[in-house]
This record gives sequence, structure tokens and C-alpha cells, in this order.
Amino acid sequence: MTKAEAMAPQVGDEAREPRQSTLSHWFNPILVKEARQAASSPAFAGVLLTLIAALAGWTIFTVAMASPTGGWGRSLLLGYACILSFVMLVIVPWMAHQSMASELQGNTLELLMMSSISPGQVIRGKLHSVMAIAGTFFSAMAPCFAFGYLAGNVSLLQVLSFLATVLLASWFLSSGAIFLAALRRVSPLVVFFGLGLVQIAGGIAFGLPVWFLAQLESSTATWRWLHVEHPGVAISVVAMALAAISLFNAAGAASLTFPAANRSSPLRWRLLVLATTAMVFLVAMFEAFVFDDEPVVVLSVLFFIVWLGIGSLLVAERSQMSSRARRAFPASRLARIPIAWLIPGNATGYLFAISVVWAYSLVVAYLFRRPVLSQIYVIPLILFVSASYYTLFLGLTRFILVLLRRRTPRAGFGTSFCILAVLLVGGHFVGWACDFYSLYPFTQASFTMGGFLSWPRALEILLTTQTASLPMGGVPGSGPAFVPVLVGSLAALVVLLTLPAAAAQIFAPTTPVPHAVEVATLSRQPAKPTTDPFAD
Amino acid sequence: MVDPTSTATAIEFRGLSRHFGATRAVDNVSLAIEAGSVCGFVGPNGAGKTTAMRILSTLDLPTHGDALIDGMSVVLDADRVRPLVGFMPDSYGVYKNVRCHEYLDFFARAYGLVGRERERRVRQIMEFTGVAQIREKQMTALSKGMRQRLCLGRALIHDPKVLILDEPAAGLDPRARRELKDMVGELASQGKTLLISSHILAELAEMVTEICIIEQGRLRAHGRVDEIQRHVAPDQTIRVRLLDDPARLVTWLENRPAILEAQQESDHVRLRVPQGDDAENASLLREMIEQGFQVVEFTVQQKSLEDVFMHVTDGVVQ
Ligand SMILES: Nc1ncnc2c1ncn2[C@@H]1O[C@H](COP(=O)(O)OP(=O)(O)OP(=O)(O)O)[C@@H](O)[C@H]1O
Ligand SMILES: [Mg+2]
Repeated sequence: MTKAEAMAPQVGDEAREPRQSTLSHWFNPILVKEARQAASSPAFAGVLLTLIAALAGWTIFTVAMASPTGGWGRSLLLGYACILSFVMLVIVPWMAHQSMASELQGNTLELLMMSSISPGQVIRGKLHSVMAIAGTFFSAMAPCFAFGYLAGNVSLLQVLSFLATVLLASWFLSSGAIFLAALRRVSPLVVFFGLGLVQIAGGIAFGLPVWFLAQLESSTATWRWLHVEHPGVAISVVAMALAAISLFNAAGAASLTFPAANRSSPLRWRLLVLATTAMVFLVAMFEAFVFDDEPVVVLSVLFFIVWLGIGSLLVAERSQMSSRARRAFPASRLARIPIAWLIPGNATGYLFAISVVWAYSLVVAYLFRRPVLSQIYVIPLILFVSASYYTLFLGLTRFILVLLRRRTPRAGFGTSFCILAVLLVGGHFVGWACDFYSLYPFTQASFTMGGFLSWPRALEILLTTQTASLPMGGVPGSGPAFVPVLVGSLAALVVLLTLPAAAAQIFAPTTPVPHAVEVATLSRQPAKPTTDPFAD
Repeated sequence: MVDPTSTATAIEFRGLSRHFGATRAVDNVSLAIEAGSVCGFVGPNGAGKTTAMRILSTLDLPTHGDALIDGMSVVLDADRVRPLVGFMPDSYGVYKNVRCHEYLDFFARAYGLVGRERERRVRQIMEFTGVAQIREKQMTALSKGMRQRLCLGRALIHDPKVLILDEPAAGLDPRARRELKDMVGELASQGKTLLISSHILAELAEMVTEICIIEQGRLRAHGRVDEIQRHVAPDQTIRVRLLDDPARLVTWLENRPAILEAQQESDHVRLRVPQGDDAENASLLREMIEQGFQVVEFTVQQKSLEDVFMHVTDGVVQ
């Protein structure tokens, strides 16, 4: 057969073709490839064999050492839980990280990105293949857990909820690991998310076995996260985890795409969902348990800190949309209004971030509307001032960044994060120096210079609520009404000043879709090098 | 087969520029390559060939300007351009624990081929590129030549209209290079448009229908090889060997106005004539024979592609 014949379609091929599962045609190609690779990879076989050996070893050890009075069923189960937690929360996320990192380091990703596969498919394919591997580990352990359940005196619900939690946590950590691996260069963003991820990973990895231990030790489970009486809490926790996984996937896909593509809108969608699930979680917790003010304050501070990071990311976006991004949006201005907050740009990003913060503040303020004295609602007031500070400082950050970009156009997320930090710390110092306490954002009245420089005190800079509690503390020179009014109106002013820029981003002209090339205008002769109209 | 009269443009650069900081890797290049042609893309190291090819393959974005494949912008319509382009980069990674046929199958899936069509396509490609004999081999265990074949197969798997090959012949032995040349010829005869960069100019010249010379990011010349040769060199050399004494021919030639120079070199005569068309050379030969010279050999020596390259480029390495 000549080569030309080989390339031409042939009849009668079907007869010789080996039968293949038609199901595999519809899988994500990455999933199929990774599964094949894992099947012939010594590393995967090694982990599986080690896992089985560890399980067998622990079973034999426990049964051999068992006292005749019983009770070994629980320790058997506890050992299984530790082994499973280690595999699912350490090994599986590490495998996920490796499979993405090797694609980037091995210079194979580019060939893939040229194909019809989208970056999102690449990320999901990696994640799902690693979860399929996790499923193999899981099924290897299933008989052990069944045995442990029969031998130990635990409820089925406890075992199942443990397994479900480990699976969800593993999924979450793996998506985070893939996201981190997909980041092409180390930027402040990496550090920011990396640190948070390490904390969460550490917390979950250690928390789960400990929690399981607590469940086993006490016959009446004191820990009620997943208790049947409060399904709302469990459901909202699962929803939050899923939203976070989806956010990680979108962020990973975004880092594989060119900056010219619209990477902002998919992220904003998911951030919105995540923030909503967080609020639902809070409401569910409030419905299920009686809360003191303190956990609420801690949760709010956490929420604000996270959104300070996300806010600096959003205000660091370019004010002009690339032609690629503009092509993706509806040409009609009317059609753009409903999706205004999803349209990329630093001004729309700013409005997006502060809207979420204000919505959160309103929800929390409504849930905890408890007057201390007959007339002062403490928590609503704290939240109002905190949200106003947030609005003010993030708005100023945006303005400074826009000015700075006239000189250094490359200034990005890192710069905006630094500006924000400088504003916060600077505000503190100015307020301290002028003895004008309303400018003390995020700090407390009892600070001294020495105290500020010490490390734990420096951390308290971020404690928004303490600042806001100032007026209530009867600080000289500021009445209870003065600070909220001042900060609130400044914040409103900054928002007003941002509106024209936001409008410009929402109504940016679309890139027309070009028709076929006009062949007549093309010249086969090399064009004379003209002066570059775009030159800086 | 492509209609020879059709003038559809397959590849077009419109003021294409790509800057890396102060380096202008590609600097305001405009050119158009017709569908069905095989275009050689040459230039010194660092000229910007790889950069331009990566932009065409939607792996990079231009700083200014645009590039079009089949009339679609690589900037705005990257999704529609990708199925049209097959790219074989100069360096690429391999997967561990993946066999050759699995690799091709993976990319066939990635390009959305399903079912029997995918299986048939993979087998066709393996037969075309000669990968069929090594289908069960691990990718990491392949020799350079085999890896190049596999990569060419991957670039072909979705039957692209436009093929971009970045130094496909680098590191290949002479036999493999010849086979590559045959494959390129085969693909060209199927009507595909090829853009091939290479530093092995003698072999490139045998493959291409037109050539594009780029240096320091700027386009130096573009057109058919002989056109450029004619353009570059104002004259051409003809080598004539006679059965009898060459001295008489030299004397005869010196009296003719069209001959710039005639010189006897051992048993043959070398003459320089202005760059003209072949008809004039033919009439010169006829006149010689009419004059009774016993011509054994009459060779018009074109400037080689390498000479053209040396003439057009300055040798400045970025
Ligand atoms: N990612 C990059 N970052 C910075 N500079 C780059 C990058 N890629 C290419 N360049 C620069 O752009 C110029 C053109 O490089 P390119 O690889 O396109 O050349 P080339 O023509 O392919 O050279 P060769 O024949 O050596 O392959 C070089 O000066 C190179 O240093
Ligand atoms: Mg190159």
C-alpha cells in the first residue's frame, strides 16, 4: 500500500477493527489517558500494594493483640480511618499536583492546548482521573470498613459520614493542588492561596481522624456538624466545598489561558456562588445553634480578610477589555446590563467585591440584631463600619493603582495588595500620630508604639471589628454617631467616583466579527517596514 | 487536489509583531501564503521563526497586528483556527507510560474524533508516518527520528488544512530526512498548505514552492525560489564543456555583447550572463551549435538557496 493510499479513507476497515468500549469515546480524553498511564505506572501499583499491606498488617496486629473483653473493633476502625485519611488527604492530592505539574514541566501542555480541548477540560480531566484513582483506593478499603463496622460498636451513620467527609475533603484538596500546579509562575497570588491551602489542608488532614476519634470515644456524639437534626448545616458545608472546588477548577483553567481571554467572568460567577453558600452556611448555623457574638465576629473578620484578597485581585484587573474578551460579550448594551458585574475590568470588579461584602454584612447584621443598650445595635454597627472601611480602602487602592499604571503599566495584583496593606498600616499610624481615633482602621485604642511593633499586635491590624468598636468605647473626640457617618459617607463618595469607570467597562464597544479576508488587497510582496503605529 | 488557479490565502500575517521586552522577535511582518503551497521559512538563529509559528498555532499572541489562517484571526478566532492547523514544534515533551498508538489515540480524542472514525484515522496516520511498526513502543523509548514521525502524526491526526513544521529535519539521519521529504511531498499533493522552517537549505529547496526569509524579526524576502534567486543575483553563470578546444569558444563569446565575462577553466568555459529568461540561454546554445561548436555540456548554474540566504541576511544574531 502506498502512503497516499494509507491516508485515504478505506472501506472494509470496520471488519478488522478490534471491539472497543463505545463508552470510552465519550469520556474526557485526559481521563482516558491518565487512567491508561496509571494502569501501567509502577508508582500507582506501589501505592496500592503498600495500602493493602498496611491494611492487612493493621488488621492482623489488632486482632492478635485483642483483649478478650472486646473493644478492639473500635481501634481497628480508628486505624483504618488514619490510613484512609493519609492516603486520601496526602497521597491523592499529591498525585493530583504531580499530574498537572508534570504536564507543565514536561512541555506537553502546549500540544494539548492546541487541540480542541479547553483548559477547563484539562483541569477537570486531571481532577477526575485522580478521583478515579482515589476510588480505587477507596474500594480497596471498603471491605476493611465493613469488617470494622461489624466488629466495632459504631453506628453506620458515623462510618458513612466519615467516608463521605474524607472523599469530599480529598476532592477539595486535589482541586486545590491542581490549581496550584497550574499556576505558571510564583506570584503573590500563589503565596496567598498557597498559605491558605496549607492551613486548610493541615486542618482537615488532622481534624478528621481526631474528629472520628472523638465520635468513637463518646457514645453520644458531641460533635454535631453532620448531625441529622441539622441537615442545613451539612448541606451548606457540602455546597461550600463544591463551590470552592469549582472555583479552584476555574482558577486553574484561567491560569492556563492567555491573559487576553476573558478569565474574570468565570471566576466571578464562582466567587458569587461561594459567597452565597458561605452566607447560607451562616444562616443554617444560626438556625441550628444559639450563637454568642464572638464566633460571628471571627467569621466576619475571616470573610472580610478573604474578600480583601479577592478585592485586590479584582481591582488589579485591566480597565480595558482585550479584543478577545470583548468578542465574548453580547454586542447589545441592553444585554450587558444584567451581566454588568461579570464584565471584566477593575471598576466592575470593585463594585462586585464591595457588593458581596455589603450583602454579607446585611445578612449577618440581620441575624444578630441585638441591642446592647436599648438603642445601640452593636453588631450591625460594627458591620456597617467594617464594610465602609472595606469599601473606602479598596476604592482608594483602585484609584492609586490606576494612577500608578500611567507610569508602570505592568503593576498588577501584587501591587494592589501592597497598596492596600500600606493604606491599612498607614491609616493606623496617621490616626495614632494625630490622636484622631476615627482614622485608626483595624486597630484598637489601647495600642502603644511598642505594642504595635510586637508580632501578635501587628496581626491585630486586620481586626476590623475592633476598630469599629471604638466609638462604642467612648473614645475622646468621637461620638458613637460620628465615626459611622464619616466613614460611611467617604465610602459612598468613593463608590460614586467609580461609577463612570464601571459604566465605561460595561458599555465598551464590541470587536466586530471579521468576514472572510479580502484576497484582492493582499500582496505577495513583502510589505515595506513602515513606522509602527502602535510603538510606544 | 487543489485547483491551481485558485488564489485562496491559507496563511496571512498582517503587520504581525511580537516583542519580548526590548527584543522584537517578530517585527511588523506582512505576507500571504496561498493555499496549497509549500513555503520554506528560513532565517538565522533568533530570527523569529519559532515565535511566528507559535503565534500561527495559537500558542502565543502577537503584541500588535494579527495572523489569519484561512481568513480567521488567531487572536479572535483561536477556537476556529485550532482545528485547521497542525503544528510540529521544534521541541516538545513526551508522556511517561504512554505507547505510540495510545498517544495518537489520545490526541484523536482531544480533537474530538469519536468511534470508528477515530480508530481508522489513528491507523491511517500510523501507516502514513511509519509508526505502525512501533505502535506498542513506549514514547520515552523512541529515537529522535521515530519521535519526529510520531509528532508529525500527531500534527496530522485531525487532518488539518495548514501544517506548520518547525525544524522537522533537525537531528534526522539522511534516510529519515529523505523520508520526511517524501511525506511533505505527499501532503502537499493532498492540497495541504505547509510552512516549514529549516536550516538545512539544500533539502528545503527541494521541498518548497516558495520561500520566506526573515531576519531580526523583519521579512527580508518572500516569493518563489527562482524569483528570489533572480532578484538577488543580477547575473547567472553558465558552464559549457566542448569536445574540442575551448579557447576558440572564448574568443567567439568575447565578441558578443550579451556576455559579461567568459573564462576558460581547464576543460570547460565558464561564462557570466545577465539574469534573463531561459529562452535567451536556449538561443545562445543554438547559436553555438550552429557555429559548429561540439557542445557536450551546457549548464545554467543557479545560485543555491544557501547563496541567496547569505546574500539576503546580514548575519546579525539576536
Ligand atoms: N519567551 C521568550 N522570552 C523572551 N524572549 C524570547 C522568547 N521567545 C523568543 N525570544 C526571543 O525572540 C527572538 C526570536 O526567537 P525565535 O525562537 O523565534 O527564533 P528562531 O528564528 O526560531 O531561531 P532558531 O533558528 O534558533 O530556532 C530571540 O531573540 C529570542 O531570544
Ligand atoms: Mg526556532
